[in-house]
Amino acid sequence: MNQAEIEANVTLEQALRRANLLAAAAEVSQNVTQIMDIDELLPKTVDIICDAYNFYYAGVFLIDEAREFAVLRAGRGKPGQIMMENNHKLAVGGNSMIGACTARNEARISLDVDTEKVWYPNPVLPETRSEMALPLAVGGHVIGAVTVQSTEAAAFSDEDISSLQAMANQLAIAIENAHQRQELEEAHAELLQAKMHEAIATATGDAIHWIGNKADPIRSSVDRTRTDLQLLTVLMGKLLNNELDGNSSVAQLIQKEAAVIQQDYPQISEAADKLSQFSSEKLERRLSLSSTLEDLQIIEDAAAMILRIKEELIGPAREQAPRPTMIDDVVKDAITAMNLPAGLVTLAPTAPVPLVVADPVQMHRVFTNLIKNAVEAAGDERPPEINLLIRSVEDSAFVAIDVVDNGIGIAPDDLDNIWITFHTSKGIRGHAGFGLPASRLIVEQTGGSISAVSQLGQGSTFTVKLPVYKGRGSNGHKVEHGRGKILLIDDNDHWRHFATVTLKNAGYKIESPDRGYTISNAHRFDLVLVDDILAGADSLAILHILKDSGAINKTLMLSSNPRVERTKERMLAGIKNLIAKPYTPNSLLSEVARAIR
Amino acid sequence: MESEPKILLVDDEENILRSVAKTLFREGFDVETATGNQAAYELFQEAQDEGEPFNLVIIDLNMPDFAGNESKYAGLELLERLKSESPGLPVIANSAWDEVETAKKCIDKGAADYFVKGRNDEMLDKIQKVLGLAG
Repeated sequence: MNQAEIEANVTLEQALRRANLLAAAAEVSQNVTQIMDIDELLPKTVDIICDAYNFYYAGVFLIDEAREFAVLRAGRGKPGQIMMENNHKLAVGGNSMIGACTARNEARISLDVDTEKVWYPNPVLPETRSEMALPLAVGGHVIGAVTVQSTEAAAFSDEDISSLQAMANQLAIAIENAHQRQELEEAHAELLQAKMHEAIATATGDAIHWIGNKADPIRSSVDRTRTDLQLLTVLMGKLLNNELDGNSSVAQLIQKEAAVIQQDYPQISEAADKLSQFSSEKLERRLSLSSTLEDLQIIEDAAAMILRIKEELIGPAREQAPRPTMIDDVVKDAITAMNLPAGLVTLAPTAPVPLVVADPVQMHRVFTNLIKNAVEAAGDERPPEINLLIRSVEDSAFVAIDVVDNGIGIAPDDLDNIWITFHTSKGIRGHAGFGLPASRLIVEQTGGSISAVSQLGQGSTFTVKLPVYKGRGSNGHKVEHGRGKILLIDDNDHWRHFATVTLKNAGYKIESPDRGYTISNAHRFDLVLVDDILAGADSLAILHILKDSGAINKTLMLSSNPRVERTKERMLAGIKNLIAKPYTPNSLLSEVARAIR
Repeated sequence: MESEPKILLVDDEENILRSVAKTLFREGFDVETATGNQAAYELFQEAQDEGEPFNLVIIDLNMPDFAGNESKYAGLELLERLKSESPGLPVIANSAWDEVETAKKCIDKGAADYFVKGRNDEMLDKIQKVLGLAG
């Protein structure tokens, strides 16, 4: 072949290659813009690149969330598969070509790896002679890189580089689009799930109330029937004993009623005639007041069961009001409120844990329930001991609360069933009923979880995990310029200190008597804060004194256990409002500001 | 002879209405019933016009509002209207919801008492207390 022929050949080869590149670029752009699923897009892209350019390997890296590593997300053929399985990743800004390319947002090319000063041979790609790393960037923001490798030295022409970079740019846009779409889909799914939970909660709530409403009158009706039956029996006895005479109003009433029944229900009249012939033994078998009362008891028990289930189910159905919550206090309150024998429940001394996101009223239900179950699980072999432990877990992303009992334990087969509503769990002593499914629903609704481990004969451990509140901590609140004098009456030192510091920082003047609740001069303050539970003092009595001194309408009550009956009593006494403990500095300040205004 | 205290009982659940009315009747009260805001308000007005107003109104919160639509807090509307027209009239509110905020709302709007349904064992005591008949 002469020189001219050789040159013509080279030109032809170049022309063909250029045509191929154009076709490949077109194919890639057509494909990548059509594929919306990133897991489908990336492998396809590496195949198209290798086929079109005749490279022996291509791979796509994406930068991880922390922007520390470029992680291989797709690789051609067997080498790609092996590296994917090994979670191949390269440090952004590291010495590798991908590391430099992603850090600087520029292409790196090595036309002959043998002559490179710094070269890290890849054991699964031993034939690589030249390599190129192209950044994947959208609007100057690097999201990853493409590597292409050839078995020949100097495999990349200037044309290859610019055409590959153009293609990489398109790929970057396609990846970004797929990402956004994925995020949208996830957000949509989350929203859908939230909506579904809400709908289920509403529907369940409505259904429970419907059932409760239907069952509600049964008890009163049974009660009246029982009372009347007993009354009639006693009155008839008195008549027969001549304690009442035949002309008494009682006698007249019974005669009148008897006449009405005999007329309206002839079959009863006949049955009565038959019964009057019975021997006393036979009669007692057929007609006894105690049997009738037992029937009434059956009806009443059935109704009570329905109403009890309503109460237990209503917990999770109730709308949640999640807020930053001091879970250790909620747990302590739950233990105290249960009034259990001293020493039965021990709360291990706790290192301070962060605030969690939860509805304190709902959490009160959950822990009451778990402790109640733990108490009921007690076996006969040893005295029951229940230990509670509160700790930060998972890099302080969650607070875990363990409720550990030394009771009879739960059989492995039953361990899954305890979470199922309406599961007949008669055999699962102490961990039966509706409390656990309800608790699980409550905990999961705020993004937490609940789990159980158990060993028959040894005991069970229930663990509740609640997400840590990510907002600003207790010192991050905006300090308003509060003006006014506040009298604070609280004998819980921790809370008194917390409230005093919060209010003082906000600019209020605080007086907080140590002992002896001096409140006769309360009217001289702009606001009175009274804790609902004071050792050795009846808070209702204090409210009466405040009423007498004319300060009741500027009184805010702080209550760790704001149940309906309590709240109502205190509101009726005339206080301005009742704030639920535990409160955050923000909630306390906003209530105080509103009350003083 | 002084007539029996007159109570207006409002609840959209007929069986509850029948049962509570019976309990009150047996205790010697004169009871009238309504199953929604509008009907209750008409009975209230009628009694005012006749010069024999009710001594007490007991209102369930969850029932048809004035427009006839079922609502969780419809009873609050009735409570407000009755208290604005007859400030001295004692009203006891009740609902199936064991919610502190609901209780607060009722007291704020002038209810003399509040109880959660299904726990109305002390209903009679509450009535006696509100009517000043205790003892």
